[in-house]
Amino acid sequence: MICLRVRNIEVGKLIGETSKLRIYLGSTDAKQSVILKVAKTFDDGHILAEEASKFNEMCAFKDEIFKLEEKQGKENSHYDWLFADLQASFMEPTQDDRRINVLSMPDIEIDKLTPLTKLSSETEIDTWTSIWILGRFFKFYSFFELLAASMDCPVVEYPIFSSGDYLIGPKEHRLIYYNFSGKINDVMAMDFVKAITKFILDWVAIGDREEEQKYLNLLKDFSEVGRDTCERAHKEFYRLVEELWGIQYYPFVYRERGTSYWNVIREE
Amino acid sequence: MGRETFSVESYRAARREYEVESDSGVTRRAEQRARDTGRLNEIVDPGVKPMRYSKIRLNPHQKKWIATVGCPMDIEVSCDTTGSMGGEVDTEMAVLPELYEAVAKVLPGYDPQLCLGIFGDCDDDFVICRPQFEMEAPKIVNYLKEMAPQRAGGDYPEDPQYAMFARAYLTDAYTNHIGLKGYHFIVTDSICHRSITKEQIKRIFGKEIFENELKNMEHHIPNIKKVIKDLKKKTHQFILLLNDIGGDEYEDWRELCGEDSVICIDFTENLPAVISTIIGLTEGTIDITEVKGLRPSLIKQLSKIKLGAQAELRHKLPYPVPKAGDIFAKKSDLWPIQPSDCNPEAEMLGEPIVASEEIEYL
Repeated sequence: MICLRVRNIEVGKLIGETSKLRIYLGSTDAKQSVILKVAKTFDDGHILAEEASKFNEMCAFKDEIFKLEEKQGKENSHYDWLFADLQASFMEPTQDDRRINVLSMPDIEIDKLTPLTKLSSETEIDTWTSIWILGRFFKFYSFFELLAASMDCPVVEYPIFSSGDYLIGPKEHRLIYYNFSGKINDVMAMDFVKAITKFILDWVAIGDREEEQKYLNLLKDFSEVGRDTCERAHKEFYRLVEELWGIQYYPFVYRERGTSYWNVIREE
Repeated sequence: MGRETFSVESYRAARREYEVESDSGVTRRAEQRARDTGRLNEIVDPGVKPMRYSKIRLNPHQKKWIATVGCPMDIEVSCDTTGSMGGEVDTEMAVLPELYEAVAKVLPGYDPQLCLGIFGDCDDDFVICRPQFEMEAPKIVNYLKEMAPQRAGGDYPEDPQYAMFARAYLTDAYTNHIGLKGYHFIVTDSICHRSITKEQIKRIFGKEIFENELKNMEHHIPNIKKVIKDLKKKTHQFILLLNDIGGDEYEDWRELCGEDSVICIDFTENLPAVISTIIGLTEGTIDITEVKGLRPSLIKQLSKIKLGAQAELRHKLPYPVPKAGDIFAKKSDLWPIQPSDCNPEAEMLGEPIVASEEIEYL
């Protein structure tokens, strides 16, 4: 355990790293759990500066949507649950002026989250668990289409799809984007719909029942053909789910890879 | 040199002690005295011991010296007090605690040292008032109450160039010695006279200035462009202009100092927020997207300043910026004793590990 302080944060365990940054757990003096991303060198700081700018843009737009929904008396879409809150971004003099981004997770404790890549590499999920996860992905990517539309921009700035950029809270059904590893400007969402669905297909164990096969066929179609927008994929996806099983709560059901025993995690 | 820093309590106590509890007329007595005697109080008179100092505070410690607070950061603000801006010292006095608190917040580990001066016009009896860099409330309150704003302004434009001249050539700042820059702000609603004359320099900074502090300058008085160039070598320099973007005043300052140095503000009451934001952005301790409480067009202007400029300088220093508790072998040493018996990386976040572009979870 590293016993170091940065501003009002006690830096804890190193949980991950890339060639340009390290990721630590931390706790503020107010006992809020946070994630710190520390650039490895001064020059690597530009990556975190870009991430800070992106998260702030997302946050500002999410707030706009919230205000609009509130004004119109609509139910909160909770885009805030889809990505981390950037608490601060600064160059730290005690760390050779390397940039540090501090992120917190909205409405969930960090210890209830796990890296998506870790979970997906170690487990398989059942059909119904895959529904909400794929739904969250499409909703998240649709958010960028909305953002571009709000600015009358014909080209959407999508974040690169990398499963390592997400944390997942199985019990609370939370999928949180917390690492900006780059963006791609695209007029069509084809490649993103394909990539996201392929990721889910690699993770899910779909049964032989007729409904499940229909579901599988849609996922295969998404992964092969894609869709021109993520919003369209999102709507089409839930239309089929509603038709097959109805929209309802399913617990998180998984099994260790190579085993046949299913485990269930229910929301308390 | 002590370890006291600014506190709201000491500020309030100092205002009581110096009987400057009213929000207006802070300088009334000093102005009267200046009129009666024809002289400024020497603590704000640039003509009496004209050099201004910003030093690291060291106390004796086991036959060596210990830094009591941290690296000093010199912040000089020179405020226009001509015409409608005549009451700006009242504002400076009123916003002082907020200013100190705001700049301290964006300068973690530093010892902010404030030189809050004023300027007028060469037609005035006193062109500038320039105190020492101070960090304790009683001293700052004391020098503010001793200012003598002339509230006139003579002709138009005004003469802030002598305040810039003073920071460029009559300041001894620790930041500059180690390779950092301090901060210099001119707050005005006017354009600037361009002439800098030997006669005015002697009038403002003392008859013997060319025999002492500026002895190499007597035959080579720098023009205003050279002054600003030299000022920029020593400070992150800004003009806070109470006028609109695109106006004559803006264009004049932009031509003199560069677009990234001129920020248009609405009113001087928000100086603490503007100054601390500029410092935070320059130091890299805050990000432009974190800036709250300022109007969007002002934030847009602030986004064009050289973000992280001080961090880049810090990064080039041979040693880490001195901090409280560092030991200096001699009081005159520039750098503290560097730890040779321990790995300097030990306190750093992370050991060097090769990793891919994607996150590897541990």
